[in-house]
Amino acid sequence: MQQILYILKYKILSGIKVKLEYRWNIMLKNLASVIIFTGFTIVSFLFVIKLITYFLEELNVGIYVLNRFFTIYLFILFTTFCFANILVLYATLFKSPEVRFLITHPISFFKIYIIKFFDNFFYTSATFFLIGAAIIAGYGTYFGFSWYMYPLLIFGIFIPYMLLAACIAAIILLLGVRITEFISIRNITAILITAYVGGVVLFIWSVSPMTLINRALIEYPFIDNYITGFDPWFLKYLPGYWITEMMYWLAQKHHLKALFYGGQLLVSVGILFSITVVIGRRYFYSSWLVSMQVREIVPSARRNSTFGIFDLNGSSVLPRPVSVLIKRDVLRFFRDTVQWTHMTLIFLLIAVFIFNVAKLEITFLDPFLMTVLYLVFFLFNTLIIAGITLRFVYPMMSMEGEALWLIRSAPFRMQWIYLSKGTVAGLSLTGVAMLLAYVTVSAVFSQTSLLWFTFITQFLTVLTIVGINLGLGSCFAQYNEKNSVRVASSQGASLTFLIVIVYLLISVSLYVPFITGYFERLLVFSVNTVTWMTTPLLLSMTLSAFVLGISTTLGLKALRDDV
Amino acid sequence: MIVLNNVTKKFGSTSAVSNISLFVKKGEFFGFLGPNGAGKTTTIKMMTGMFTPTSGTIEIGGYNILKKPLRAKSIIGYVPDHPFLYDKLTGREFIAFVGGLYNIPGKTIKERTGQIIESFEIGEWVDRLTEEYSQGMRQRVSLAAALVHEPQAIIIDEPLVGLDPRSAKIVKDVLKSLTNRGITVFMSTHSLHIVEELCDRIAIIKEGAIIFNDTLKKLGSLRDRTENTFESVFIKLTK
Repeated sequence: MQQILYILKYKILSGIKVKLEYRWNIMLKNLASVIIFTGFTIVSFLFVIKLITYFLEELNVGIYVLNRFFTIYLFILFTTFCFANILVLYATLFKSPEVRFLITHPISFFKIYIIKFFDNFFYTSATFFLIGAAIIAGYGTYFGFSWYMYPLLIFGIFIPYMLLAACIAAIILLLGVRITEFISIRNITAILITAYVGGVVLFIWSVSPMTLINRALIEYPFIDNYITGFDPWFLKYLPGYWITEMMYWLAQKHHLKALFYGGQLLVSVGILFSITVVIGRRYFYSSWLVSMQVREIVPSARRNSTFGIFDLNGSSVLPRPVSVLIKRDVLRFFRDTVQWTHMTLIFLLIAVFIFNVAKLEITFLDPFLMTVLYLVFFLFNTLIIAGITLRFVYPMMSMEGEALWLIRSAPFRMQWIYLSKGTVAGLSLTGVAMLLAYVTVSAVFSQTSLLWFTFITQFLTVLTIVGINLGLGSCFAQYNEKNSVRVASSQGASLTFLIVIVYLLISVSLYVPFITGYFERLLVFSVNTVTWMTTPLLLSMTLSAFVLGISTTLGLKALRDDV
Repeated sequence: MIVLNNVTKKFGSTSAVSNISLFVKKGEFFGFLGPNGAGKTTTIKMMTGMFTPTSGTIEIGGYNILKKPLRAKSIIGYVPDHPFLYDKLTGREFIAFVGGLYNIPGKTIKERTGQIIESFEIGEWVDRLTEEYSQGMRQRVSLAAALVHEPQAIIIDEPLVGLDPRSAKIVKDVLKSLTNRGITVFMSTHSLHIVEELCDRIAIIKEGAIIFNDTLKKLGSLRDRTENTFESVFIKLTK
């Protein structure tokens, strides 16, 4: 224990020194981070209160449906956090130079494992923690929880909840790496992806929001009946369910029942953490050795494996420096297992989403509800794009790595590297955004003018999101971090994501009056014109140009700074 | 070929390099020496466009590195002290990539790569991913890549650090052959025996200022009068 504390002391000391650097630009970045993170938490908190008010007082869905929505949300948060932890923990435990350094010193492997486990947990949990805290605080405020319940719920329940996900992630990872001796790493990755996608799909299929509403309507007008008998059998074994049940019983002032669910969660965390510790003690070092062995074997098998259109000596319609930059990025991307597996996973999830949306049959006659539905789809699509961009575009500049000297000493304008990365990312993501726009708008709204409006606004949004990520990815570039997952889960990345969310919220609020007006004319007066688009499109273009201009200027400036 | 005129670089209130001036002729093998933290790498970074001088000018082949950066950079090849390569590219791909950055046609790169592979004896490794390379192999491949666009000057920072005798000999032979072909070599190093073996002229930098800038013969004359070895002269000068 003493040795763990000793190492932690130095890790904290080095962290504090980085944070307390007095250079004005670093201080500005830290201040901006604090403002954005605080702002995000406050906005999320207010949003949760508004959402609960809207669901319970305007839509009248009842507390049962509301709680199940939270259960669904918490399940997605839990699985995403778990999956993200597997990926980042892999980099932290098996690819980190610090582990290689510590392993050559007289420190037990188990201690290294525990240090890195918590290192990873705190590294990945910031944004999830803020989201969770905002939900709990919003829920508590609406239902009038006592003041002492907030710290108790946030620190005593939500952090253990995330710890539970981290423990599951660590167990899966260690056992997964251990069996790479017998099953190839590609097959294990495929199994994990299938399990993750399958789990999410099965869950949403079993606890479908529409089915929930239909079931609750059977009880009408007694919508506040807590009809848990409708719950699928497996739901009561899920930690997200325990949290929502606990919150429900706290709201009903049944503290004993709330304690029962809270207790279930804490006992589970205790058990899972013990298993994590035992597995770590037993398998960490052997898994680490296996991972080293696998890494030694895989590259040799790749000799001479690529040519064709990605031949760096091959011809191209683009200027040669730009074409070699793009080809190099593509080669590196597809040779990095983590990169292509993530991309496959994301595209599988998008395919599942598209498949489900295409089957939707929702029609409201109320223009306001149609506006809400449209904006929900719009936000959902853009959030998918924002997620992909954060994962793949934000780390692009950092992935230049310490070989940045090569670019900086070459006769090469930094704008080119910036533009080449931005163009490739922008075009690819525009394709995804157009597909999502087409599926959602044509499936639910079936209006050509709305489809064109969505195409244009999605295009502008993609450009802006890519611009923000590339710009801030350059400002916060971590050239000594080789792992793109760690770059994409860093503090700078969280800040970038929050800025993107702020941009999206501003965009959506700009569209609200125009979209409502459109649906009013369409549904009430049966008038379908295209002239209404002009003003929101102009506003959208202005906003995009402004944000894109600032982020590109910042990004290019960062690239020209001393390195 | 390389002219530094009253160059200063400050980081905050600290001067890393103070008012230095250097002149390196075409085809000259120039050694740039100094103790750790003296300002060698900072100077090189300014010469290659990675740092902006606080004051003063740097010209490469007559082009000001700040005003005509692309022209200046196109005639130099740079190899840093720890040349990071892209893990997921092979040595051959890395060389092709660097050639592409200098706008060299693919066909030409292929031809030149063949010759380079031979001179650097990297044939066995050039089609493997660079993540498998030893330090010596990394150094050889990055030097090979720096030559693919046939630069007029090579700027190289600590080229022999961590190299085994065979790799070191290959690198030294290649560098020497470059100056025989009229290519300027600007080499920063700690190794006095390398300087003695290769350089025509040297400059010694200490605490950001040039304290010696002349031929090896001149340094040798200092040795005759005061101490017996270059090492002791260097230690005395940089004390």
